[in-house]
Amino acid sequence: MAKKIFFITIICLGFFSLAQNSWATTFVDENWDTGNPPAAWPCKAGCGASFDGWYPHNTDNCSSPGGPTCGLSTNYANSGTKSFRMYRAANSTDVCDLGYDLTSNPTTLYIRGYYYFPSADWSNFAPGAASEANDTMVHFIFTNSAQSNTGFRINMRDGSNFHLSGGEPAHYMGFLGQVDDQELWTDDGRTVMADPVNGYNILNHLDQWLCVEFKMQIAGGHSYLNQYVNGNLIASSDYAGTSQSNFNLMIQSGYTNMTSSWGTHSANFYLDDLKIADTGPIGCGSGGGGDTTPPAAPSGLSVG
Amino acid sequence: MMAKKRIIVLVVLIAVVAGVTFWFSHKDDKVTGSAALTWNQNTEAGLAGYKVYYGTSHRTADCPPGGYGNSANAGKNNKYTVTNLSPGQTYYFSVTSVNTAGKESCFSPEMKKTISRFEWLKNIF
Repeated sequence: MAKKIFFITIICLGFFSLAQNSWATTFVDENWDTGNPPAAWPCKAGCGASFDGWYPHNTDNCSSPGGPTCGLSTNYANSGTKSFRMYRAANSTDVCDLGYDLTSNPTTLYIRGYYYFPSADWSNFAPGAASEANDTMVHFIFTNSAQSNTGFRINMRDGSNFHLSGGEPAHYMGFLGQVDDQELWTDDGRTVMADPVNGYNILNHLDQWLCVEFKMQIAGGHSYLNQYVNGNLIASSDYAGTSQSNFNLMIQSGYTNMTSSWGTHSANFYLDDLKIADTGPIGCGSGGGGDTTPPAAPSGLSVG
Repeated sequence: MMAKKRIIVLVVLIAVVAGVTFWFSHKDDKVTGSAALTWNQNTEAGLAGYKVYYGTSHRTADCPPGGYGNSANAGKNNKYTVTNLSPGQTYYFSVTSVNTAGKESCFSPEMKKTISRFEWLKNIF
């Protein structure tokens, strides 16, 4: 009898684990290595074409200095040979936002991408340099809308106005979330930072691929946002009240208005192995994967 | 006897003047400590360099960022000196390897050092 119960339990566990997998939906698994985009994609002259479901969301930048330079690049790749290059020219605010429609209207999104920030550009950053309307931030990812206060926004925000309970590092840029008009940096009550002192400073991690993941969830009138870097939970927040019921659009933005010392320099970042799913965390090392394995950790460390 | 007394007074006077002079010349010095780190070279092909991570508490994960508050690029050197460390404070250190594809290893074993409270003595000797 005990043997029968054991086997039935095993079969049930197997069934439910398979069932769990079948429920998971992957909306995007993009490594930019397969196929060739239309010549005008995404923001070259005459743009408007779509490639693998990605289309230019701000076609007004198709003939501006930064927009036409955005596109597939072989400068850096986390896997294969190509990545997407988001480019802003010096003394320009124009880039090329990439949109992707989420037609099944999920209520939970895991957005995992590998991002590369070259030091040649990002070492020019100074507090106050990343600014939109003196707001000291750069929009990085949108959901649902880029033009109004509806949806999730991931912003890159510098230390001088980065509201963290532990302090404001002088040379700092990190990701901060926003849902509708509720901003993480002005609403302490909704915020739990995994590292309240430093958050995650990408300026300390230039010239390498960073595995960045955001969990966005709409449930019970709340919006939840988690942020992971290299598989570690960095920030978690709960926004009470939301105007949305689901997700219908994801925008990888480069929407920028750089001022101060940084505005006179160009700004690049690269995106590879982007995966969007309704189940996660997706984690690092899947969805396109890497074409190289990490090196071994150093041995024999001593301190004197 | 009188001469001996004068000599003692003179020596004390010189010592006081020297002490006051030293105090005035160093009173604004910010005394900090340092930690010299060394590790074995990683001989893998495509190695771009090393990163040093450090903070005042144990790391929270085996791979970056791991909860360390600070990091520094060590280049391809297998040694690095961390400076501006607070006396009396214990610091924890780990190192990672980064290859030319931008991939970073997990952490080396963690080491620690407590910075001496007598760092200021190094300014004298």
